[in-house]
Amino acid sequence: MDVLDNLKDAWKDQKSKNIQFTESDIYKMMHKKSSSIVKWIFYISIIEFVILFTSNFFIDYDEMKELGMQNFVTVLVTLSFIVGVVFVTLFYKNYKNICVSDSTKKLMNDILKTKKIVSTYIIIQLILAGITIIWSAYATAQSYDLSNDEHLLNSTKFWIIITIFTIFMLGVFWLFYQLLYGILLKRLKKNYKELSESLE
Amino acid sequence: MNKELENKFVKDILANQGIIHKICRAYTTNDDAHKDLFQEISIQLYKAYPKFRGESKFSTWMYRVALNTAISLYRKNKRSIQTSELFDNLKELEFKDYDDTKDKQVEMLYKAIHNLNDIEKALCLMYLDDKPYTEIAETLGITEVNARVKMNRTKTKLKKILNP
Repeated sequence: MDVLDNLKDAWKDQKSKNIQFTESDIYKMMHKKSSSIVKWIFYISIIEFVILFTSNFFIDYDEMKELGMQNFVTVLVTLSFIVGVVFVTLFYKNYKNICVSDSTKKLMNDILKTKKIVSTYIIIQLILAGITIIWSAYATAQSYDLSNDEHLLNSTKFWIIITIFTIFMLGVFWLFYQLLYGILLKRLKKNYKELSESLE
Repeated sequence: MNKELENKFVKDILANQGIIHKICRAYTTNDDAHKDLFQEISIQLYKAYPKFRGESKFSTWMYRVALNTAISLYRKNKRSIQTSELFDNLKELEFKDYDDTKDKQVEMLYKAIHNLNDIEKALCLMYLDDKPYTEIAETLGITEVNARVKMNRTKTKLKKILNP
C-alpha cells in the first residue's frame, strides 16, 4: 500500500487542532468586513477612476485659450469622459461577475480580467496625457517663436527633450502603477499560470 | 439574509467546520493567521450562501468556496489582534481515545503540505479527503486528465518531502 494511502486514515481521524468555534463566534465572524483581494482591487480601482476623472476639472482653460488650444482640450475632455464611462461600466460588470463559488480557474480569470480593464483604462489615459503634453509643448513653442522670432518648432533638440520628458513622466507613473498591482497580484498570477499549464 | 436562513447557515458551518479548519491549517502556519483565514472564509460563505441552490452537497460547495478563498482571495494582514479578541469562547478540545501516533502523522503531513505551492496544497487536500477526480477537476476548473497528471506530480513531490 502507498505511504500516502496509509496516512489517509490518520488524516480522516484528525481533530481540529485546538481551535473549535461556537455559534456566537461564527455569527461575529460572518458579519465582519471582508479584506479579500477583490475588495482591495475594487477600492483601488474606484480611487483610480475618481482621480483620473476629476483631473479633467483642473485644466486651466484660460491658459489653453491663450495658446489656442480650446478645441483640442474640449475634444480631449469629452473623449476622456466617454472612455471613463465605458470603462467604469465594463469594470463594474466584470466585478459583479466575480463569484467565489465558481471554479478556481474561472475565479482567478475573472479577477485578473477585472484588473486588466482598469489597466487598459490607465494606459488610454496615459496616452491621452502624452498627447496633451506634446500638443501643449507644440502650442507653447509656436507662441514663443512668434513673440521671440526664434525657431523652437524646428529645433530637433527641443523635440528630443520634450519626447524624453514625456516618456520619463509616463514611464515613472506606469512603473509605480505596475509595482502597486504587482505586489497585490503576484501570488494570484503565479497560481493562475500554474493552473493554466496544460499537461495533456 | 433573513434570520431563518442565517440560523441555517450557522448550523451548516458548525456542522462542517472541520473541513474549513483543515484548509486553514494547510494554508497558514500560525494560529492567528488560521483564525484570520477562517474568518475570511466565513465572510465569503455568508455572502455566497443565498446563491447556494443545493445542486451539490453543502459540504462540497463549502469546500470549493473555502479553497477559493484560501488560494485566490486571502491576503495576509494585520488584523490578527482584532480577530483574536473576537473569540472569548474558544474551547480546548478534549481528546478522548487519544492516539499519539496518528496525531504525529497528521502533524507530519501538515508540515509536508506547507512545502507545497497553493495549487498543490488544494490537490493534496482533495486527495486526502478522497474527492473523486470529476469533483477535483470541476473545483479547480481544469480537465480531468490534467487533474490526474497534476495529482501524480503532487503525490510524488509530497512523498519526496515525507521520505527525503
